[in-house]
Amino acid sequence: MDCNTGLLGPTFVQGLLLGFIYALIALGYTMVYGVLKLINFAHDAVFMIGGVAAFYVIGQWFGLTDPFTGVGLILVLVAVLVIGGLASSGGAVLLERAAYRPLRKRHAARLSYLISAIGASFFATYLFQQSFLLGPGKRSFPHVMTTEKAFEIFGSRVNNKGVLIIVTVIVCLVLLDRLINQTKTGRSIRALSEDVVAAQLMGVNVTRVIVMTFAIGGFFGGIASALYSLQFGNVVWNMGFIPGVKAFTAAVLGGIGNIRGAMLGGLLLGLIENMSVVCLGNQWSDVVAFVVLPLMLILRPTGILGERIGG
Amino acid sequence: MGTILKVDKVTMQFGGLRALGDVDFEIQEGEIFGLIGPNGAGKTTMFNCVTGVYNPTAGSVTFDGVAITGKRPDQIVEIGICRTFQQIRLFPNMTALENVFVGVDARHKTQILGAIFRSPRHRREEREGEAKAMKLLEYVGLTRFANDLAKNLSYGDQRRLEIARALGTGPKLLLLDEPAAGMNPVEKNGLRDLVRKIRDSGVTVLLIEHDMKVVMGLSDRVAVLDHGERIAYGKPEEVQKDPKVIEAYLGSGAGGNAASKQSKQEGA
Repeated sequence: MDCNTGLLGPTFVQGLLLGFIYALIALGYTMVYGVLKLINFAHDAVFMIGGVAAFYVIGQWFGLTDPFTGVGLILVLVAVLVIGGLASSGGAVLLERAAYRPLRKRHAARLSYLISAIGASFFATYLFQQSFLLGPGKRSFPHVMTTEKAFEIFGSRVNNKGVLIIVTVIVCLVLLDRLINQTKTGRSIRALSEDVVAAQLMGVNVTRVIVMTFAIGGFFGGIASALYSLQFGNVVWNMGFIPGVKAFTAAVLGGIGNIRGAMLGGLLLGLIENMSVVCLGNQWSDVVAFVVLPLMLILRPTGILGERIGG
Repeated sequence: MGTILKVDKVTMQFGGLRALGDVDFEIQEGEIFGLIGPNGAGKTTMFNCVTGVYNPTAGSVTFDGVAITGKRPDQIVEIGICRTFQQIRLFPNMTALENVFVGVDARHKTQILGAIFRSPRHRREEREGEAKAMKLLEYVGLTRFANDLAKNLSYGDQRRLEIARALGTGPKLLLLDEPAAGMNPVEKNGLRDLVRKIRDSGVTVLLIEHDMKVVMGLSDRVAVLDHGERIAYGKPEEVQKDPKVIEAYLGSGAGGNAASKQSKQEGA
């Protein structure tokens, strides 16, 4: 095994960027787990919807496929992110309504939720594979921004898309942290994740808070999706699968149900998987990423920060 | 002073088990009402019927003239009933202040968009809510634990915190499920004073309690349940003399304190 230390810098930067995106997706898994105690296996489809919606609205309807600069660029980027966020958020709320609430009303067993989630995920994903929607191939995401070098760190170039990812994700994480710790909605979500019955008997409207949780988790997933599509330049019907499984791993790594854990887990997983390239080569990165999950479950099943939502 | 809570022929059937059968009682505004009875008599089941955890098989519960049977627990909180739990159910990983804040939030209107854009109402409600929660902590004597996680409080303090959290929802009727369970004599005295203070502030109290000294000393009136039936109803001193109560609850020939020696646990 020979390590190519020259790759340390670039893989670190790449890992960090990917890790930021994983962190944003992982929030959705962890928040839903917090309130419902179930892994939302349809979150990958929720993720996909965001990027696809931005592709449709910006690229197809408005036909904005040329690069922007200056204020125009900022406006169109905000539009891409907000469209992505809102679309995924709507998708997540729809998912809760169609796939989870009927089960909750009937007090279904845990396994039913799991099956329902997987079914919903397949349904949504393959729906977009149909030719009246995305079709089976990759579709090019509108090139609203050119890739330019922004600055250099550790001997590795960070381009303007990287800066966009870092800034967006940090803003999202700060917003979420404040939402969870300093608002009524946040307190209700935390109360619910600690004790559903007690929360309801203290006046928390459980259904409304669950919908909120899906909406918030979906929103961040959609923003992550928009960033992901911008970064890689295309959207495809199954684009949610790999990032979804990775983000789920990240959520477990940090401690499922724990919001700060999801952020930490996402960053760590992005770094681990990318930096493994330094010694093992490209083809190993997914192997390394998915070895992390069973290792974590064996060594510390509650994750790095343990299972609890909020601060 | 009118009737605040009317329990009318409430029956709760779990499969073959009749946990409550045609139970009637009325609570007057401003009184402390005791609900007593041996283990498994159906006291907590009655609490669950009043607070919306269970939907009674038959009968109705009316609060302030409004029928509340069939409503969701959070709707009943909004109407003005809140409770504590026999087995403490705080939010263990939230601070004492946040626990009370969740209760206070029941009266808050801000939705998520208001919170994101920091609307004036959101800011006012956050400010006022925190002040109110702090005041309630002071009211039950827990000010210095405001920023401690609920799970780190002592048992007696956790019971007080549950009361503060319930008061946070602004109830007209407060249901206390064995508030003195597990408390030492000093804590029990403090609790008695607290319950009276709550009543004097204008909140009606419905109390389940095993400790006869606590319940008889505090209650204006009591109802006694046994095997899901109401066997006595009236002033504590009358009820204590009722042969049926002595027979069923205290055990024939037993003294007034025998009941408190019984186990504190009762299935919900």
